[in-house]
Amino acid sequence: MIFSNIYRARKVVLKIMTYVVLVAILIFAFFPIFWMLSTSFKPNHLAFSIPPKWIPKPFILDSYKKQITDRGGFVVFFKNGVIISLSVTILTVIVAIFSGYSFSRFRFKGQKTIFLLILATQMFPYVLIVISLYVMFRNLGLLNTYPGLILSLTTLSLPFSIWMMKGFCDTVPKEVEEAALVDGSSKIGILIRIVIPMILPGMIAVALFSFLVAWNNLLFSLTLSLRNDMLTIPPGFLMTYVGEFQYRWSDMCAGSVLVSVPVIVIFIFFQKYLVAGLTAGSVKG
Amino acid sequence: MQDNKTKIKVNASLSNKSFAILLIIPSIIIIGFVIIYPLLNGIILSFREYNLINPSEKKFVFFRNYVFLVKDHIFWEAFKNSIIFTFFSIAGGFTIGLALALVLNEKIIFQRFFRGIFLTPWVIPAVIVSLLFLYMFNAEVGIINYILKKLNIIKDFIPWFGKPKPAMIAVIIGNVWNQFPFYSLMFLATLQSIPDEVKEAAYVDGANAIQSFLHITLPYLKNVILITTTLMVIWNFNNFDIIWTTTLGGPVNATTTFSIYTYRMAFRNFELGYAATIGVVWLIVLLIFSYFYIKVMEKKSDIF
Repeated sequence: MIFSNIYRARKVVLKIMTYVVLVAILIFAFFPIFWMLSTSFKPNHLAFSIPPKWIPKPFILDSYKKQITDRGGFVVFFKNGVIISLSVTILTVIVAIFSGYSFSRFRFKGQKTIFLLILATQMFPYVLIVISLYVMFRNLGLLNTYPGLILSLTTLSLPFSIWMMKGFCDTVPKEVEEAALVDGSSKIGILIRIVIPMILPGMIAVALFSFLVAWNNLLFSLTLSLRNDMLTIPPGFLMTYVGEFQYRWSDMCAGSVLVSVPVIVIFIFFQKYLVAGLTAGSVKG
Repeated sequence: MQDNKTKIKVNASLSNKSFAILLIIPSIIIIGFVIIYPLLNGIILSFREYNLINPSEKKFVFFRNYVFLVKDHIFWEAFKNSIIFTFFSIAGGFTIGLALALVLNEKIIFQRFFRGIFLTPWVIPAVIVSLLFLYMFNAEVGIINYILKKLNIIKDFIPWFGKPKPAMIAVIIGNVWNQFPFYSLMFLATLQSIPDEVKEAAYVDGANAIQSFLHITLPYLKNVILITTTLMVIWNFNNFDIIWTTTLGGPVNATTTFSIYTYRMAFRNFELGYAATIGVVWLIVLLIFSYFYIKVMEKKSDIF
């Protein structure tokens, strides 16, 4: 009797602790986002007021209007971001399927070395790489071009994507393919018609990951595109808002909301695929 | 009919090995062109004196850059800062990330909702995170100073980005905020894979929360903790966006890490040769780490 009372008390304490931790982390995680939203609806001079105005009053949409009509800035960055990130996504998914499938299904000499080398590339210092890329792209005329940026941003997510794809291909039973091979399907036909439909979740995971990497990257876009009309969102925002005398916090926050909301919605929607992809290898063990 | 026959013939002639190699060629071309070749070029560059303003003079100087590097006190400061930045970013992100994963794994209200939204700070671009924290940590109008003063934690407003130590603290807090959901993501997935019977067995045995965490949960998490932490060491050593956007490495090099120092040397001072030298030493540090990373990946995910 006494024992079970202690037991129950312990459970209650645990429950309370759980909620205390939850609330603390939620405040930490979402206060900055609340502040970003709040500021984005304020006239700029109120973004400077101390004591701060927690709730925007007047509640205005001026900053949003300014952003979506800023054809020399925000609109261009957003357009470049979409074009480049989507191209990176498509390229990464296709290339990662081929490689992931190859590493999963076939064995040949030197394969392991190649796989580990590909994995290792994500640990190289990117700034060192970007220095020689800059020189190389300048000589090849690839600075300020979409292909140059797309190619370089693809390599940032490709190693991890191949690793994820291999994990997904490992889950496809070999018997299905063998049956198709007997039926006279070609090897590439098996890959396209049988394997790809079965690893669709993996493709979504890789697509999300590679899109996010390209959409968020500053270093490569900042270095490899120098013209204002070729910037993506991160370098675009950096150039627009850092180091001015007149801080435009409201505009900055409105722009940030516009950039973040689509990505947040996509991620909430497809999150489970990403979880499956990111943990494909690590949970197994 | 004719077509079909040739197709089968082609299939037969294409051995498994050639097909396997054919499939990885696109990856090898892209990675070779954008990573491997530039990397090798970078290593060669580190033995040269190469200034962007005067690119025709590409003198080969052997180890002169390296000798200079050893005596360069900013390099050593950058080394120290890289370690401080990485260590505290991981300590913070890991602790908060693990706590959140454990909480989200319990039966709580709105569990589905919270599991849906917790990734938000992670998907926001680091540049935007930086701008937001630049605003919140602003010395005069920042909300952080206001709250801290209201709570009587500080007497006077702190010029966060104007002083060495506060600048490092502010940058790390922004970074932790950006990264902690990634730890939660990895840990939560693993926690969900712990079979219920195992948890029930501990419950029947009368294990308390701490005991069951240490003896049941932690062993399950061991692999994913190793992989995530190693990955994070590498990512944070490479971190450029947050520091460059908030402080550019200042005030007076207080937040200058390897990535900031290398970038500044290359694209502000235009000394590409010397910048490459810093990069190569940084590469060596990372390679030592990568060795352990690959060992872990190899063992834990039984790749082959």
